[in-house]
Amino acid sequence: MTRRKPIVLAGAGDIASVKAAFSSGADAVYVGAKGWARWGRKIEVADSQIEECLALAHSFGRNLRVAMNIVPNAASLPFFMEQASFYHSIGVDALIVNDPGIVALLRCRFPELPLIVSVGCAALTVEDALLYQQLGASGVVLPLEADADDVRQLKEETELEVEVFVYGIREVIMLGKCWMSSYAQIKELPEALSAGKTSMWGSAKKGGSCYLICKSYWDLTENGRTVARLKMPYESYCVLSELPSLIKAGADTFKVQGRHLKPEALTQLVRLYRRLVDVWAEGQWEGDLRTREEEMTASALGHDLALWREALCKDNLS
Amino acid sequence: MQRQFELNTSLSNRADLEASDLSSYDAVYLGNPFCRIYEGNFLERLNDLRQAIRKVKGLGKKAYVCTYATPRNMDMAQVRKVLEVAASEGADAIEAHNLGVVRIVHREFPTLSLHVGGFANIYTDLTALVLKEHGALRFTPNYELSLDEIDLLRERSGLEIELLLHGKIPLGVSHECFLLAHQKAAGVRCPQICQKDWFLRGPNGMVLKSMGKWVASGTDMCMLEHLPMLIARGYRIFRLETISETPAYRARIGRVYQEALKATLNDEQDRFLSRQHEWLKVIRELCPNGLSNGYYFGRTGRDYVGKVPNIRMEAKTDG
Repeated sequence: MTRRKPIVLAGAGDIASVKAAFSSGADAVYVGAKGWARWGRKIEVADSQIEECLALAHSFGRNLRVAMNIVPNAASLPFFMEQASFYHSIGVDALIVNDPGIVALLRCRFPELPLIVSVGCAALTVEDALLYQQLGASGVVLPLEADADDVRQLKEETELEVEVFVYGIREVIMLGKCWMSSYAQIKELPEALSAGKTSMWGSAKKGGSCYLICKSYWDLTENGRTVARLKMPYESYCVLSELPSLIKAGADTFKVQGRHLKPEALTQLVRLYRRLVDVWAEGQWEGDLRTREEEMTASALGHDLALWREALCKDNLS
Repeated sequence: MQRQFELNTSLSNRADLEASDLSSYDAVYLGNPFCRIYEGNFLERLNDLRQAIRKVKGLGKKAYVCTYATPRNMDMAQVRKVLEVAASEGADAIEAHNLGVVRIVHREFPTLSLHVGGFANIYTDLTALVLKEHGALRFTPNYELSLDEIDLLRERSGLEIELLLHGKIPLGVSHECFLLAHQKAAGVRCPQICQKDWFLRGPNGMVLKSMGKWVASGTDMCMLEHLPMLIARGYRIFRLETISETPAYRARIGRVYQEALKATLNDEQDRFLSRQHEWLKVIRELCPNGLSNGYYFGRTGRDYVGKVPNIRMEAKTDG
């Protein structure tokens, strides 16, 4: 008997990566909407390409989600809604958004459009999730801090699709609860795509970019005494042996944070998770990695992921 | 006579309360919202919380009760116990930083007034309206917002706004204690380590304050010279963020701002100008890492906008 299995969702930063993800077995792919997604413009996908990605996804019988996880201010809200309306009109399978009020507005305007609550909302408890469900969300991306017990409780008490990271970057401050970057530097820059729209560079929420000041060296001092020179924790996050417990808890979606990976690297990651999920579903694996090679692959790619993220942030600073 | 403004502050535990002169404040937020094992945290010591609510109310001040900023499912039972104490003791409001806690207060404790804190990430008027529907009376906008953006949120939501007027700006919260790894080097252990003044000194003279599970600006937000502008824009509820400060800081900064607020609201411009120099002298003493207020002016958070010369570069030692 085949067991229930979650879908493998991969992030992709361009068409080549979308193709690579689907070809390697992703059930769904998410891309960042140009001008509206976190992590900077270089890995966002323009509208014409999103239409192409969507056609590709549907040709595979899979789905495409679009991240619009910058929070628009009052001046840019009309642009945001126009963009969301476009994605709805072309049949995008879900939008990923980052603000309770935006969830409520989109649900009201587009009753049929699935809405996923971004990890930036830091929804971690059943009560958080119930509020988002009440506002009209169809799914929630749990913060990296979530474990199988959190997943189980959410599945038991809500009707939401529960998405968990299996691959990404873990930072010391919770995603969505950090604005150290804009304390260091923020710049209001015009957007080339939409006349009149500006973005606040340096703010993850308001502009989609972060200068990663946590990656700098810091002296930890008290009363003039330096006790350590350090970088704040920032590491790749990779779930492998815990996959079965997350599946048993009811996780619906395994998310591979890969928008900034090259197609070759994304292919390896998606294949790895595809294989692990499939062999688990066939009852052939209970959590121990079958080969050291799989562990090494994940570890090496995690290093790449961290370097890419840093490189992107340095580009944003220049 | 009804007060024309509210000046409030925050403290974590009984020791802090007993050592603090709160005479300048109209209201106090009780409890440390960041860490369950913070020493003596009112949010874990429920008898202390009961006594604290009674004491603060007995002083003729409003007693507000904080809740955890980023609770997990395993923390929610304790959150409910805190809310039960707040309700039974007649606390004047709850501060929720988390949407789940907002939902619990609205559904299970409808008699409690609800304030929504700065970690709830209120960036849009749409979200403010969602929270209003869930019983919120007041909120602190996310600290990244400019005054122009905050004006709009207030106008469109119709809710009371609480503004950070002075103190370390909260910049991030974590589930991991950043200081635990440094206990040996620091020569002090949990739960005392985060009660020291730990600063992170980084690139370009930037300074942050680390309290273990949360990070704040190393400089102090200071809106003293802009107080007349804030009053003119209609703001009346102000927070002096002192949760990571000493009782002496809490008392002295409270006196400065209470006097400044009274002078502003009584339209005593001469008094404001003549006393400003003295007030700034106190602020300089209390804030050796310098001053900032950039977010409110649509700029980088650590910038200081105004005529008062910044003293960040003059700082030689920690406070």
